[in-house]
Amino acid sequence: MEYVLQTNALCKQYRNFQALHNLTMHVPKGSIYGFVGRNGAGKTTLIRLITGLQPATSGEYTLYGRKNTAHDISRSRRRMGAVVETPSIYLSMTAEENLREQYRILGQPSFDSIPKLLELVGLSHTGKKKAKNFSLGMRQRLGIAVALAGNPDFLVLDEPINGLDPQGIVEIRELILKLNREQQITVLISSHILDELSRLATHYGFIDRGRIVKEISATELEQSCRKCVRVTVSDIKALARVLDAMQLEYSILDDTTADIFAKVSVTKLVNALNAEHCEVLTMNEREESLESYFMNLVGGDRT
Amino acid sequence: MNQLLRANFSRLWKSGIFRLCILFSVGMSGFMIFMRYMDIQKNPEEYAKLSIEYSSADGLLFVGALYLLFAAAVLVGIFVGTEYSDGTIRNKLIIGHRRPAIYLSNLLVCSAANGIVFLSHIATAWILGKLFLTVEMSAKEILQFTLLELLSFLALTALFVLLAMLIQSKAASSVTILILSIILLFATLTIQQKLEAPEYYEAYSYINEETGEVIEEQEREKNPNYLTGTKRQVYSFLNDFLPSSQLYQVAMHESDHAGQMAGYAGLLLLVSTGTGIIAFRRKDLK
Repeated sequence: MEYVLQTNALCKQYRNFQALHNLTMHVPKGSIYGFVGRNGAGKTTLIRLITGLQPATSGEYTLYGRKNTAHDISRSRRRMGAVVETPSIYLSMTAEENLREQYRILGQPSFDSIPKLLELVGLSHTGKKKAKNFSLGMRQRLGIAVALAGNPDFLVLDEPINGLDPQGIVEIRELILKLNREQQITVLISSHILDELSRLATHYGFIDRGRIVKEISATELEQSCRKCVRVTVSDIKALARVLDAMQLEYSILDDTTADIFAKVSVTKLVNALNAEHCEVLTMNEREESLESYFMNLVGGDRT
Repeated sequence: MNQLLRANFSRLWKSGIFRLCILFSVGMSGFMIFMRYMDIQKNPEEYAKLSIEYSSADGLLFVGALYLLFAAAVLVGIFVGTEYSDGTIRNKLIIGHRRPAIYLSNLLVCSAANGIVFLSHIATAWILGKLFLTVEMSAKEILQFTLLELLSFLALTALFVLLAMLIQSKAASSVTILILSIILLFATLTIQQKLEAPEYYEAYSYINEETGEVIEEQEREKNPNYLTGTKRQVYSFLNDFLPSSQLYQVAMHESDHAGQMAGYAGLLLLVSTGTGIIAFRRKDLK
């Protein structure tokens, strides 16, 4: 798999506080990578490191195959756009002036594509209205437009829907999906709003206390979170034979436990297992949401 | 670097605070010349008794730079501080601009802005002085003093930019720079007062004119506050070293140490810029 961003044992220490501990993660090309973690887990710290706002204490990362220590890392950064925490826009300027300023910083030869970019983020109607008079959602979209000014292949969005109203959330979600599907932009999006992330992400990275605790694709996660019947038996091979014969989808977890992803007739299953001299020890129905999956991963009792 | 300069200059031309500073600078020149003109019109006989320098614009050409110190402080604090308060400095770093280039582009634009503010003050004072008063100084003297004050002004700008780039809060950096300006001005006035203090108090006696009786008599006495030795050397050094003191000396048309002052201003500019770049390279930005 081709990766846009890979980090290897990244550490960041702020005086007495270690924000990142040997963090290793992989963002596949073309994905929408949901970066999940509670407040203070280290999401923004990692984003600050990969965007060059802060140096890592130790460890390394590669952006489009270039190490962060490489002399020409700025060439990889040119392919990147980011909105870190708050949108980085001049509040005393209009949307168009902000984009013109960013075009100058990028050294773009012409401003011709600005109207198209404003249209893409739904800000073409703002005229001479200054950014300080924009709603939070409009500012967020202008921040994304500024990040898109250099036609990046990789977009990093740090908590982009924080504080937005429901309509603003839908607009940002649709914009991200559009950018990913129509322009094949890889998106790293950090959030602790899991429900929203689950509507977007193709891959997930779960972070806790500065460490990645799990990286998983949305398909794998869906598989893990599907409604199932978890069965504990005395002979797992016998269970497999019976389930194969009944043509039921299942997944073996260990020597005694398996998940069955279908509606099961308990009587039929128990009778069939009994015929194989296999005892059913426990049987219960399970359904896991992204939220409970996350809580199981990081432990829900800690604050 | 060119891209950053282009973007920063574009922002400067639109900047309200830059326009305000120019207005303040030009307005102050106009006000000083106008007040002198009005005073001469009111008291022509008294001015006729005084030497020509009192009725000319010479004394007003360079004195305004001391007040422009505050305009420069506000301009740098707001122009650079906005990059942090609006978060736009991140846009430059994210797309791969190097930190020294970001620092230097801000320094160059602030220097140009303060240079323009300063020169607009001198130019206005000179033009209005020519129109309403007289300008007795030679063109060479004016050019020499202008360049010296400009260099001091640029050294001050470098110091202000250093603070503005290292303090990430716009309010905190603006206040710090303004406080530094006040401290510098206060230090300059104190240094001048100490250095200009007489070595001796002259002898005097008060005599009752009717009776001829001596009421009070004082012999020539050494001033205990007169600075001597190392202390005087330190004060003299600071007087030539501090940019605000350099501005004061030029305002008073004292150019005995012009070369030394220019050297110190250049040194301060280089040291503060070097320190700023090194510190900014290591800085964790939010």
